[in-house]
Amino acid sequence: MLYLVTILTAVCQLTLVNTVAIGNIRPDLLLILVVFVAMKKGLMKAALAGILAGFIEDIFSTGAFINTLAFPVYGILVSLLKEKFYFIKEKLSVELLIVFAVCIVDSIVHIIYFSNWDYPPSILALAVFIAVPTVLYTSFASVLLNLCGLKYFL
Amino acid sequence: MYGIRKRHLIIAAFLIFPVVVAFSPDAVTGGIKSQLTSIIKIPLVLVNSLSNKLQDAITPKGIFLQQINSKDIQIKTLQEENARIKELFLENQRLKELLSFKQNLTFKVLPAQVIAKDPANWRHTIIIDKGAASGIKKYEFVISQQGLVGRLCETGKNAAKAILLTDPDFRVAAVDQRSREEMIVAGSARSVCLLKYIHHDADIKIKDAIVTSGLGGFCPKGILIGEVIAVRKSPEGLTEEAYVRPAARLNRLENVLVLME
Repeated sequence: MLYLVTILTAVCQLTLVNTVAIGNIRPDLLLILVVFVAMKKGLMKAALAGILAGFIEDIFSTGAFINTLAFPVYGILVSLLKEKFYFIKEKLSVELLIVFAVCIVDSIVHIIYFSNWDYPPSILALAVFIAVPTVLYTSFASVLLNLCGLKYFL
Repeated sequence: MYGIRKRHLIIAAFLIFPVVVAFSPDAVTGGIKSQLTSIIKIPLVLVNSLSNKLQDAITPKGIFLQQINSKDIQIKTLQEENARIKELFLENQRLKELLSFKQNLTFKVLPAQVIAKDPANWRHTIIIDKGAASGIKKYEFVISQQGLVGRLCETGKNAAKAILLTDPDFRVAAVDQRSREEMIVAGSARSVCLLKYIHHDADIKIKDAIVTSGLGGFCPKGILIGEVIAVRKSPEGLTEEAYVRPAARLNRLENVLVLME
């Protein structure tokens, strides 16, 4: 079921999500899914979902396989934090904060990747025009998906 | 103890896969990407056509709202029919425009449909429903009736991936149509492109049309890229740089043409 939901989310991310794009910015449903899996299903499944989600995202993008590396790490970290700290629980506000934090980390990872290019794009432009809107939109989408009950399909 | 060790071993095994994939040479991963893109093409085409229909149905104002408010079944049926005709009309108009544009072109082109877009916001790519089986090759340019769209970066058997003008990895030689100043157009990761390496006393003004120069041999000369919207000194101060708004509507691409050799 988990893999099916991940694949369906990926198909939505590639096609339907474009209809709700604001400018060029779309929420990252696969990142939200990895966080939800980490919160609900624990470390192993979070790592697996992270690998699958990251791999799919990289296949349909271009360039290096950053997400295949990063997504399972996000999943593992979130589930380890949940195990370690009692206040991290399946609560709307807590999950919103975790998605927000993971999005920021993901943005930093991407900006570091771009800054290592021979002709890197402007870091300031990346941060202002991509990272900030993506973090905000993805966090907002996570609340909607939470309220729609995406977690219960996992 | 054994449980913890086993768990660590499994996690380590899981993490080996992404590390292997991430550090594999591009020649290997590029091939895998192209093949997987071709395999998953069918569900993407289905969901994408659904998504396009949904988008076109939302665009004509208030069709949904009228349907919800109206209680008369007959009116509902007529409205549905109307929406369907409108959708067909829009599709017909798009294809007609593309056809007349294609007839005006002097080079060989292949029409293709956009079936998916990059899942993340960091890169600007599209996936089209034509691949090597249709005779297209890597590095060929993609255009729409409005202007240049991008360049193919991966080609599978039945699908191909193109980076858009605005992708940070995109570069093309260009020229100002009015003053004939030569420059490089580069993607900026935003919705605009950047004109790079312009001499500080170059004659470039706002609203100038930028077209491909044909230098480098990959892209034909004279394809419209966009319009200059701002000119400023580069951060180093030695040259100038300008921003160009792409002529092609990159966030609303449905049908494109691949310029074939």
